[in-house]
Amino acid sequence: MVTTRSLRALDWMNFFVANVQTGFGPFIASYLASHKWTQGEIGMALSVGTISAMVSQVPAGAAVDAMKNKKGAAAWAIIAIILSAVLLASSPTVLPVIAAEVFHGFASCMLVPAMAAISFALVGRQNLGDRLGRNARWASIGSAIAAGLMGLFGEYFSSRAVFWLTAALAMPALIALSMVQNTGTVDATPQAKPIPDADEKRESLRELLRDKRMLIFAACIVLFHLSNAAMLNLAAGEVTAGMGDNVQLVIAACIIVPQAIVAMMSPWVGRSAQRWGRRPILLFGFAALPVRALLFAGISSPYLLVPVQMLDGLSAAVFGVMLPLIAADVAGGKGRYNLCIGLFGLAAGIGATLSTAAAGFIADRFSNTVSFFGLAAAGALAVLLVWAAMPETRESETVPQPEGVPEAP
Amino acid sequence: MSGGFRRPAFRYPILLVLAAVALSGCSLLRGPQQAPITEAVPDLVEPASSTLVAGPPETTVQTETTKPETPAKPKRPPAPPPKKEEPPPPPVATPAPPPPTPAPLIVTRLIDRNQAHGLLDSEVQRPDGKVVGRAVDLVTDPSGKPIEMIVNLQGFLGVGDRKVNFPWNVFRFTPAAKTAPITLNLAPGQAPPTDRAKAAAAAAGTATATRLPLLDATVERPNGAKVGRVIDVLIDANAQPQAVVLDVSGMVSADRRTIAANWSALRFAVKDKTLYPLMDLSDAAIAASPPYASDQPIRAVSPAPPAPPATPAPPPAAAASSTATASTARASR
Repeated sequence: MVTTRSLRALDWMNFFVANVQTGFGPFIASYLASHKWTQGEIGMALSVGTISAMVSQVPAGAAVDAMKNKKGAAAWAIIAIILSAVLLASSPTVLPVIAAEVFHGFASCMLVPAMAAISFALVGRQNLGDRLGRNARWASIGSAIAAGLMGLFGEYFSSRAVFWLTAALAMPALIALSMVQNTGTVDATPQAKPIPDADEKRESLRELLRDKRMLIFAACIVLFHLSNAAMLNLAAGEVTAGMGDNVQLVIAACIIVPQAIVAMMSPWVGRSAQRWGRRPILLFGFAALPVRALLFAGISSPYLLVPVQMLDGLSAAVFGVMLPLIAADVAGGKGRYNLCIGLFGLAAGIGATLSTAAAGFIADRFSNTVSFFGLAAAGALAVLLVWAAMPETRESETVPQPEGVPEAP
Repeated sequence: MSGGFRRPAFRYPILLVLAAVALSGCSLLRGPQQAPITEAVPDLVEPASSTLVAGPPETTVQTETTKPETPAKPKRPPAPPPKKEEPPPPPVATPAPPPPTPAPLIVTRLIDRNQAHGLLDSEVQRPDGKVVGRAVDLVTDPSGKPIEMIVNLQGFLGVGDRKVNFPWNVFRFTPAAKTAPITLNLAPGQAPPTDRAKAAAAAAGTATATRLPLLDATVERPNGAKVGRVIDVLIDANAQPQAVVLDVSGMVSADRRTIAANWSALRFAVKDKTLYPLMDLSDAAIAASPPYASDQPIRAVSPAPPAPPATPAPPPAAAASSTATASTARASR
């Protein structure tokens, strides 16, 4: 049986892991710059990180699938992340930084599916929506708090202290992980579906790649991130260029407010996805994207960014819950759950990379407004794709639904 | 193919550890294997040609130049060994006695740390003292006159950072300041650039025939060989660049070797419709240059004035012509 203690521990693990991942965001660029790295060198280091993350998504997912011990996978990933934080903090020179980027890229590709797999193994298919909602809630609380803490650390100590903090915050994640019961012990839970480790039903990669639901949702993810990834940075850059007095404060609010929304909404998203199905929720969350882009294009006061960022929370909540949930729908019963998450992660990475490049290019050539319109168009396309092509993936209680049949919401 | 992944996957942790060991070992392996370059080269301190020269009298030069050689010794040769006429003396050669070597390869100039400050990552503040960002690059024109500075305006935790080009004349420099050494003086009417700077930013990343973002640019010799990559520029209180800091090792190299080179030694040329920096600093001269380090005095080098390669040039002539270089440089400003 699943113990309450395990579930609580899983909450905390989500919290601390999100803490850790916050430190590895765009902050690395600032950190390296403060150690006299030139822009060319920073660009190279970040590209190494991006490439290693992209390349390792699918293999990492497959590896987690193949491992019996999902907790072990998560533990190794966390250790690797601690290692890379320590490497970054101790010596900001080329070799350690590149090694840290590679470790972190691979480790986070293991960690995300491993945590989803642990959740899956603990609660089973029926309650997965609820559980993923909880995960997302705790993760967003974690990253909001971490963003605040790290901002303070960076301001009052040094940018290097941020990475020591990151490494320190990863330790409790390990402790929380150790308190989660072994995933092998929950086999007895009453659930209709076989647990993801069931070997005999493992489908091949090729089969998964032919799955229409998987492909369509992957395309949706690419478009989602094409629209989403560059948006905040572009809007925040506009604030920065104004050189006002409260730049840092406004941008911090732009980061933390959506996290609060995610924390509030995620459990609801998870429940509703189980009750109403995935399609309506997806449409709802994706539709927030083009609206947000258009609002960003229209507003002039930096302070108005903050309320608009609430829409970001909306789409982030939906996206964060739906990605692992739909992966479970598509591949969960066939022992390819984590591989599927890896594929979706790859799609997200591709979308995000294209987004930053394209938005930056358009903003330089034309203007930010045009760039926002472009992002809005990508978002609208994503909504359209969900609406027109994305089948409902929730399985009805009685019979597993044949794939590829769209359901009218 | 059921279970086919199991065995390799079990080894992932092991592989990770192995990779860690291998990667961390790289730097160890690379360290001690190079042949030491010792070139005891007499240096000429440029006579007081500008206000910045706070250098010691010439008598101290000998000991001074030999001292930095020792830290430089274990470094890797930055490029294929110098193909100059003078063969590298055996490693055991004691650098102390006045060397019988021929022409001086470089002349150095001491720059006071309080009078010139590195551009890269210097904080940029508004006149009221609020720090808005950090300098990341400088754009020069073909005559070596800086025309723009690129400032990375800071957001929060890296989110919202934005690089903006500002004309060079809006900045004031206070190299000795404890706080932000650069002040951005935008006139009230001169609104923070939006679209105009945007257009410039589009061009900023790439060099054209008339403008060159200097950082990360590769400095070449007239014959096309690589000298090093620009990683910083030292600016004095009058907004004049005094020296460029060059990374003369590779981009990914275990030990980084950096030197400061006089701005006056820098030339610019156009190749394939793009501007690029030139400096006639030979490999031997690079090897002889004192390293640039934050805890040591800045000694900016210039290539020694053109002397016949093998025959020793009389020092007075060298000194004289080096002042000539300096004065032409000043004239070009």
